[in-house]
Amino acid sequence: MKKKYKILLLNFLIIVLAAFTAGCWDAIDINEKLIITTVAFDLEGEEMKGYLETANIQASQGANTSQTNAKKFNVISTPSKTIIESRAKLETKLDKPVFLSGVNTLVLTEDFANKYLIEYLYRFRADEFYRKKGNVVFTKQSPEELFKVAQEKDVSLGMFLSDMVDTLEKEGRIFLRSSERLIENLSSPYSGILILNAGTQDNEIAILGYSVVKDNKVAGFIPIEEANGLLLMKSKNPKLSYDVPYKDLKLTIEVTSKKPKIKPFYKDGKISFDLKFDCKAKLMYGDKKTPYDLTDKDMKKIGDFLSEMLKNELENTVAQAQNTFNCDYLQFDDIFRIKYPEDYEKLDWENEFSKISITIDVNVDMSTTYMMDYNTGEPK
Amino acid sequence: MKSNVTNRQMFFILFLTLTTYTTIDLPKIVASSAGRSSWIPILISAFIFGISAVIVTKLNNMYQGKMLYDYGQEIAGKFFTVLIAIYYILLYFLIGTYLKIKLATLLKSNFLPTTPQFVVLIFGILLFGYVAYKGITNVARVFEIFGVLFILTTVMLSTVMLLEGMSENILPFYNSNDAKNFLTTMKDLVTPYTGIGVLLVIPFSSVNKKAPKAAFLTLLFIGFIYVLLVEGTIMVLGLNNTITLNDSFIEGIKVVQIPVIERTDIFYLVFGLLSMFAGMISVYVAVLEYSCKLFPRIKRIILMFAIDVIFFVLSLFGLKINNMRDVFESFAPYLVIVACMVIPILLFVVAKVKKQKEKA
Repeated sequence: MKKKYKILLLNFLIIVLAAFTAGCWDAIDINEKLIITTVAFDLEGEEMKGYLETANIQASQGANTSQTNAKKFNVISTPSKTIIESRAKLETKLDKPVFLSGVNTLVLTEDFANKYLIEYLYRFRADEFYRKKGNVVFTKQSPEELFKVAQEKDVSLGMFLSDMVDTLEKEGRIFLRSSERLIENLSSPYSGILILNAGTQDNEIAILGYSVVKDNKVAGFIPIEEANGLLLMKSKNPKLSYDVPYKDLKLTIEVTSKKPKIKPFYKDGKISFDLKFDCKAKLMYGDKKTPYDLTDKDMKKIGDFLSEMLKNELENTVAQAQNTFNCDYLQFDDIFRIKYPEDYEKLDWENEFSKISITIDVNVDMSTTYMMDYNTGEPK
Repeated sequence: MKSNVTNRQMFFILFLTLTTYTTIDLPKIVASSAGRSSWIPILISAFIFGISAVIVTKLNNMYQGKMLYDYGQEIAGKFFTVLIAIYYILLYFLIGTYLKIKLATLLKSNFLPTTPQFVVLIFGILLFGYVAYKGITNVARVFEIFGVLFILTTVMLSTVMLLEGMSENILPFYNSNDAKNFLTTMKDLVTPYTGIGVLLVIPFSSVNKKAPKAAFLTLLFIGFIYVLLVEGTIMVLGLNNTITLNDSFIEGIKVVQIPVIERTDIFYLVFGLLSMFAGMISVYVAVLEYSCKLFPRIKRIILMFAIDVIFFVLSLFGLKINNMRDVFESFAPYLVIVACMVIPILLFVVAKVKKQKEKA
């Protein structure tokens, strides 16, 4: 082939390919799509109610003067009998195709979850356009109340919740289970997991605690104030504060911990676990004027007292899971399965969990926060 | 036309051709049967096919400067060589068609949902045909660039998946209950090794003396890459999700978070597509080289267009088949074993015996 024909052919191919890879057939400007930021579902009696929160791009950009006072996020809702019907009816209220990759949070009421959790999450997994990084949050309230507070602040409920839980998780104040992890857990033969529960408190959106999900139903609720033991067990970097009485003082101590060392045992058909916690405790301040004149002996006593406190708290956490809910949301099943995979497959964990013997050992390493003496450059 | 490759280029030809088939749905395929023990059958398969690659490269080295069609006539006679060449052509037509449909489907679901698939096929086939027309040496040079980008991206993303995932999802590394399914898993892993056969169309030269060692190590490397991406996917998604989701590796990538790169899946697909292109180019080269040998009087460019047309027609038929993957996988492993193991081993043994006789 002559050289000039070759070059012509090559140029033709490049131009055609450029058009083809740019996706001329498929190009849709993002302004021509509705970015969904939150999806929520509620159940009222036999009727479910679906909510979509969409980003109002024009209002955010302030491009159109008539839109500058408009809300940045709009919420639409519709009652329906089924999830399919809900989606279909919601879409009839939209003027543009939806963009689901922007969904930050799925908000499901506990009533809805009790009836439709599996169906909805499997739908979520099957839909490749859904953003799988998003979080799932349960609520006891109507989503309408949460949306109302978010609208008053002119923020997206989903984005606000997403940012809030990310921040709290990074600070070690909560632990989070992603939507993927929730679906994975619910697809396993034994299911038990904790899902964050949000609601309104003093007209603010807040994380109120954890919903206990057993099998595919919500089995209970653990308030966030009572979840310190859970944090020590499940959070990657828990950071907790305790008031410890010592002599006539009330000392405030900050506790951090690494993930506990958990050893499972299976002997003569009996399952047991040894849990070992290595905590670092830092005496922050007391409620009286310094000096406190605390000696090493005093510090050891405080450490022992705190260690006993933490041990009680952890034992209560385990007892709550075993006796109150009979639900292994602490994921002891995973630890046992890893060590005894063949035995685990033969066991009915639902029956076994409440009978497991669990021993807890807490080791506290006490230290003090000193003030720096800038004259000497040494702590005082 | 110059048609030699260096050992480094051979590494990339093998690597890209082999990984084409698998990266996206490999975790689902192996995890479905071997669960958390998937890494074991993957490494065993890599080892077995590593031996097969050694035999192919040794055979090529015995007849330097020639491809299978040339030295096959010295070993098995012209009649059998023509039969073997036809077998390879038909096999690569099948595999090429399957890969093109896979590419068209992947592009449709991720990038071009409303673009008619026949348009993707036309441009794909024309492009791959043109690259293959330039011959194996030029193809190998392109592969060196594609290969480096693809390895870096895959290893980086798989490592991030390992770091962000949960160890509970992949532990324990071995469960005796999974072991009974290892043979099924290894059967599912056969098709990805089709690329070894492509080496048979490359005439080796004196620079390929160490090719057997390089080929064996390449296969082991590919095995480790497979393990890395399967384990990474299971760690991020969990075993049940990995088994359920079709393009589980892509779904796993979507979940990981890397600073700056918001759409990790699109980032990967850009380089993943390079690998798919490379795989199809390899297959195309094989068909074209055998065709050129079978029809020496017909110009290479005419053969290229004829192959384009056949691929296009076959792909259009293929698009009408439901569950193409299942249909393909029901017979392809047996064809691949014949192409990559049985034929090279038989030729190698006969060649060795003949050489021994000549010496005697």
